[in-house]
Amino acid sequence: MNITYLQYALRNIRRYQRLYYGYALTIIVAMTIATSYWNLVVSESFQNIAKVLSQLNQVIELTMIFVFIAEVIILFFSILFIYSTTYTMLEHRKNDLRIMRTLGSGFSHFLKYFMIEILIVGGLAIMGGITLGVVLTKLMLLSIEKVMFLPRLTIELSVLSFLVLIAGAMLTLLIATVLAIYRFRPDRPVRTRSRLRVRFGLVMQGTAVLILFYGYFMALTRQDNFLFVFPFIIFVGSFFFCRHVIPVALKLYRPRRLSLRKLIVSEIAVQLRTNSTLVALGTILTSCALTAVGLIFIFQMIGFDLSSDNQFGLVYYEESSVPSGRLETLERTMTKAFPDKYRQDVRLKGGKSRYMIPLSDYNQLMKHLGYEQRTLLTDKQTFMIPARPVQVEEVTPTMKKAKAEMKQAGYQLEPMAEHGLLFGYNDRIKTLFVVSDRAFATMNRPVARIRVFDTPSYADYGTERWTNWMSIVRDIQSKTELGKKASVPYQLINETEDKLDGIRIIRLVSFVVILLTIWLFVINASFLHVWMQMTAEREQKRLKTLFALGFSKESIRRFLFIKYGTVLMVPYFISIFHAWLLFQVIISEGGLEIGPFLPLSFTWIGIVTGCYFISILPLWVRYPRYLLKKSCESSMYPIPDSRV
Amino acid sequence: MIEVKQLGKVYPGKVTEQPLTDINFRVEEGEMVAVMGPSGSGKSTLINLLATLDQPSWGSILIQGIDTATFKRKETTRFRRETLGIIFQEFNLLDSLTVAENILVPLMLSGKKTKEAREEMQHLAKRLQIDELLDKQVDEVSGGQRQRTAIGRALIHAPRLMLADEPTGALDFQATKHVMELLAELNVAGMTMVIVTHDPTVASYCNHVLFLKDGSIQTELFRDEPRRVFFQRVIESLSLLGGDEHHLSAIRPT
Repeated sequence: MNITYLQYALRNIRRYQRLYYGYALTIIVAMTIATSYWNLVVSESFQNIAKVLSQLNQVIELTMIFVFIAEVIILFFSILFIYSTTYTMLEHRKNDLRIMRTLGSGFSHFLKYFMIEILIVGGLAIMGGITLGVVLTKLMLLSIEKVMFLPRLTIELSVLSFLVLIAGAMLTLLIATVLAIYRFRPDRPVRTRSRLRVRFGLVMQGTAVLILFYGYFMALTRQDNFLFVFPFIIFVGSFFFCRHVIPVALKLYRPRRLSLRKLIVSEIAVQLRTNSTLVALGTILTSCALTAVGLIFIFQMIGFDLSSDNQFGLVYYEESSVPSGRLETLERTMTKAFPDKYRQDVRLKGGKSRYMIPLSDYNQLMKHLGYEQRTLLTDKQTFMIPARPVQVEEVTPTMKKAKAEMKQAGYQLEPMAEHGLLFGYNDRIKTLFVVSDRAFATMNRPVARIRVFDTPSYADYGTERWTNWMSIVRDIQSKTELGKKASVPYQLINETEDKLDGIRIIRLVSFVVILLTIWLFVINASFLHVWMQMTAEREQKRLKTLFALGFSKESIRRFLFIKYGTVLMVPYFISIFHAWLLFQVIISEGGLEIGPFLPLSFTWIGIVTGCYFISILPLWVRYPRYLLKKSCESSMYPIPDSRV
Repeated sequence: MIEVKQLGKVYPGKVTEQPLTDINFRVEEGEMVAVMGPSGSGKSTLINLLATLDQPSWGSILIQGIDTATFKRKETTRFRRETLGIIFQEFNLLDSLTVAENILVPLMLSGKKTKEAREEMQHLAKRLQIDELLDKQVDEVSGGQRQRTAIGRALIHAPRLMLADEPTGALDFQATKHVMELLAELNVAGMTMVIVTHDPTVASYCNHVLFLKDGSIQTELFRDEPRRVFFQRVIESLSLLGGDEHHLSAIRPT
């Protein structure tokens, strides 16, 4: 029978559990997705795919960019959502805070018990989210294996990466909460807005509107810069329309006699005006989801088809003069499974990070692949070939050092090979040079070997040849520990190294985007849930008054249906308008005409509208029913309590 | 204890409101003062100013010789936490807590040891006759019991000044009587009280009554006779403020 800050916080959590449900749910979903993305970013296994599937390096790079963007979006909306929910919650609990204030609670006391509440709920939600995130990562890796035709991937869970993740989540939570508390400040004296502040606000509003219309102009004239101002446009567009334009327009409706219709119209105006921040947030969320789903379509449309002729090669590397038993097994398996496929032995000499291959072996491979063959006039001439993806595009310090060393050894450097093929992508082979056969023979170094195999292409996907090929890859993969920093003895190489692999990109990007879209819908639904809880009490009182004034149950039902329908759907239509603008600009940026894509875009809008409709259904249909039931059950006036 | 000098309050806005224009009065240590007046006369504004929940537009409030306007934020909080006890008409209990926990909230804020606090609370609850309801939620007890819980909460930290804003406004006849007897008892024990009310019965328990009208004090009454007689004087003063003497004279003190 005593009370401490912790107990008070626990009681408050129980008291406001309905508000905290939505709050916790969003944090859980955000953390689940953030954890899985984070695990991908820090997963050595995932990064190591680049070592074995060098062609994938670019795909992974691009995926990482998308994952990064997704993380930023999650971070931004998490802060915004937690901020708005916390503020909403504080508004809802204003009376409790006032009572505490009169009892002598200062800002520090308030901070103590409120932060305990936030840390308990947020902390539990973060932990729950991380656990689910690990499960989702497993599922993601499993599906990435499947959709990207990859060998088995493992997940490494390091304590440090989890600590970083938890610290990041806590920081986000605290920033958003402190921002909300700062704006709310229970002990801040009420001040009237100064004339200067009012004028400043008006100027800001005016500027925002000008930029908004300039943005629309940019969209209609299809200017590239529209993409940069889009986030601003959508925020101001939805916020400004909901808060100012629509309420002012609704106020103009003045019927000759007072009716239910007038009541509905004025209620809608009030709701839009008072809840415009929430509504604008929801609008942005759905609009982003809309654009995200649209992007998938656009990616699908702009020329990546499934009939890609991209072809893998398998390069097996060994640093011994005699072929190992493993290489022999591999050779046997490949010959048996693909007797018609090309294979070649490439000799290799070198040490540390600089390796050399003979010109004859190089030219033989070039001839098979249909590339131009090279000649070296003297034994002291050499040229470099790219050994790592980065060397295709830029001169690295390692390259500079290796070239200097070759010059020191008396070699004359010829221009670098210009094809996009990577020859020596391996942990040890950092740079690779081609020398004449005689120079190679005179080198006093042990011979290592690279075995190159042609492999089935994407065109074989789904056939038995492809299945055989994947089982070989899995076999090699299972005997290599990708997670550790051991050198990887083999490499899968693609013939068209410098071109992006359409299928994989589409699938990976779709994966990231779909997860993000799901999250955005969940967050919007949670937001509406919190809003619903917040307005329930006030709404019940209003309905009781309407009943007492003589409105029938039927008219009140109609009143609620129209009111909530408008409040929820009008911002949504505004968001569709903005998303449509973005869609148009993206299409025109891709050099396409909108005409042929109209049916596709309508399908897209239909799908997203369906998702949005499902997410708002509880609020639109069930919530008014609940309100009606509650308002009819209890009496209009409180019963005087005579018990003493 | 309290000295109010030329106190005024204005709420600026589109329509400027001036609930208090020029208030001057003194409350001595151990006095029980009632503030009466019709709706909109500035009673609640006055109590908010005395409780430092609001700042005066002009004039000053001296509590134990110190001007409340000079208080810094932390000092204001400490003043409310240590010197002041407040009772509201609507009880304003925290409905997430039990009766006992509600009483203990001020001690939680002042950081008092739990064992000590518990003993004090049980002693107080016995005195307020709510010792059997301590584990109940506040919505499970009656209005009178809730008000006694609120009084318990206002008393637990032994304040020197008690402010009550219509403490019996939401109570019936019997509950009002019980609460007022309790407050009178506390006053006899030495607590200074300022009670805002429009109930003459409540005012009759006090020894000093201030009548507010249109933001200033119209008249003051000091009690030096039995409560029944003082009640009649309160009624008469009220009728002079705008009520009808013949209608009110039928009311008898309890």
